[in-house]
Amino acid sequence: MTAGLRSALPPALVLLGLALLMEAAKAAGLLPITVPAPTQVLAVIPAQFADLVYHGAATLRSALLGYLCAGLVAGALASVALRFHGAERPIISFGLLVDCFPLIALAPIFVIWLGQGMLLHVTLSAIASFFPLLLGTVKGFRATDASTRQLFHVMAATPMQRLRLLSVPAALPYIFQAMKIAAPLALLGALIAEWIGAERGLGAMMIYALFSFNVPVVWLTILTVCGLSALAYGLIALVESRVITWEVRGDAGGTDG
Amino acid sequence: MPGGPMAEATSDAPAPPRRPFAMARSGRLTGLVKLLLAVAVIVALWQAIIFWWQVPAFIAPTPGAVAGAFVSHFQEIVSSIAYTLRSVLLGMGLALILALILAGLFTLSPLLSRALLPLVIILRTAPILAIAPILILIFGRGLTTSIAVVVMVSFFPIMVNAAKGLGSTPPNALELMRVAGATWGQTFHKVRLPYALPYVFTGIRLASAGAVLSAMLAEWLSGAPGIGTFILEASSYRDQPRMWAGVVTSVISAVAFFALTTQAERRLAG
Repeated sequence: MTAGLRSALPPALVLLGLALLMEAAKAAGLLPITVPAPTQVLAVIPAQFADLVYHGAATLRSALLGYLCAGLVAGALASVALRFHGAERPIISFGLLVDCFPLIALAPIFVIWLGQGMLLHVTLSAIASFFPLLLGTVKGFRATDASTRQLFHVMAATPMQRLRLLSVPAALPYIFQAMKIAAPLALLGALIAEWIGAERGLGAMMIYALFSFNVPVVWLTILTVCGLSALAYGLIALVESRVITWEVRGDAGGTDG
Repeated sequence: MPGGPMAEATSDAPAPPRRPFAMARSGRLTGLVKLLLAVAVIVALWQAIIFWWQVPAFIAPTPGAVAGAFVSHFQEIVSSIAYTLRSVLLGMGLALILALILAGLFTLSPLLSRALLPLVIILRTAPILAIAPILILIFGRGLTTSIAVVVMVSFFPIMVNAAKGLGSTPPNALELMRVAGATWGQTFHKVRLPYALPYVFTGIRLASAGAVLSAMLAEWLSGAPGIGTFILEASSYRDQPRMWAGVVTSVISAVAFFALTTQAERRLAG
């Protein structure tokens, strides 16, 4: 814990320094009107708090549902890839294709098909978070090594035992890694959907503040979204550290490719 | 979605075996044939579904109608997509330069790297596209905003990978340069950068997946005359064929751009 604290100190100091610098620059009149001082953003929180909770709840709900749907579809496809070996490459290619589709281009089509309600937000958020989840599950299911599989075979393990004792523990590190990466993307997908048009949601609040040139509120909503995604990331990391108590080998632990 | 860590798969997938030149060419040819076939099948399916279930034109236009709209708006579509791609290229170029400079600085100062690298990694996982409204506030409505959004989105994946690459130089090579009395600049140019190149290309590829999306998103919010605005306008006129023509164009460009950077990675750093 102290080691974690020590490595968290320099970046925290940098953040604090940046905030102080912004405050000073604003006081000196160096910043444009579009960049508020941190205290200005803090000052609007009390007045906006109820709105933030109201809109934030909608965004969180869409993102969470989209994330779950993406996870279910990814899990199903990964199972297919596991069962039929030839299906793996096409499935990954499909995911990659979906991933480099510009979401914003598809959005108007989905608006026509699904309307502008919650269904649209959930769908876009699912598409946004789909590929990392797919990749993580496919990689995870593949992560058992041949000698261990042979051992299970020799010991005549039942399929259920294989799943519980071999496949799931091997896959979990990869799946957690994918979940951490996908959570902010699910939020972003919901946000993009709300930018297109929504009555409720942080995206709608953001656009409204942007068009009425309410600068501190624009910053506040954006900071809220970033905070929520960091929170989601942290929560999953916490669960991961509780669940995975064994030592992880291989590349699943790496954060960045 | 914004670049993201998602395309990582291909980076650790085993590289395809090197083939003789002629074989590689025929392989590419069959690839092209496969692609054309896939497109033909999709178009046929699309037409068949509309014909079979009598899908009304306001839900999905026929391929013919979309092609017609494409031809009649050809000039506008070309100038829009050119605008978007220009902001993508300029943004990615700028992001690459900034990322290399910062990553280079990180190799100079471990303290700087300890203080800033965690922030960069955190920001990389944050939904960075969400700050687009701030950039629009700051940069107004024009090419600058699109470029700024693309820079913000592509900077982090490139930067994180470049830092990783610059840090992965074999110590032996560094020792050798030190013994030979090389300056920091020489070491950087002759040893660190070449070793980092594959990582940098991975970063570029990861960033390119979301670059077109982020440029279009910026246009969407700012109203700059790119393909994003073209689609939005067509959609607000309820002009389905025109909108689909824009969507198809942008999707093809995005996929092609991604394929191009993947190819470049394979050629130059593979």
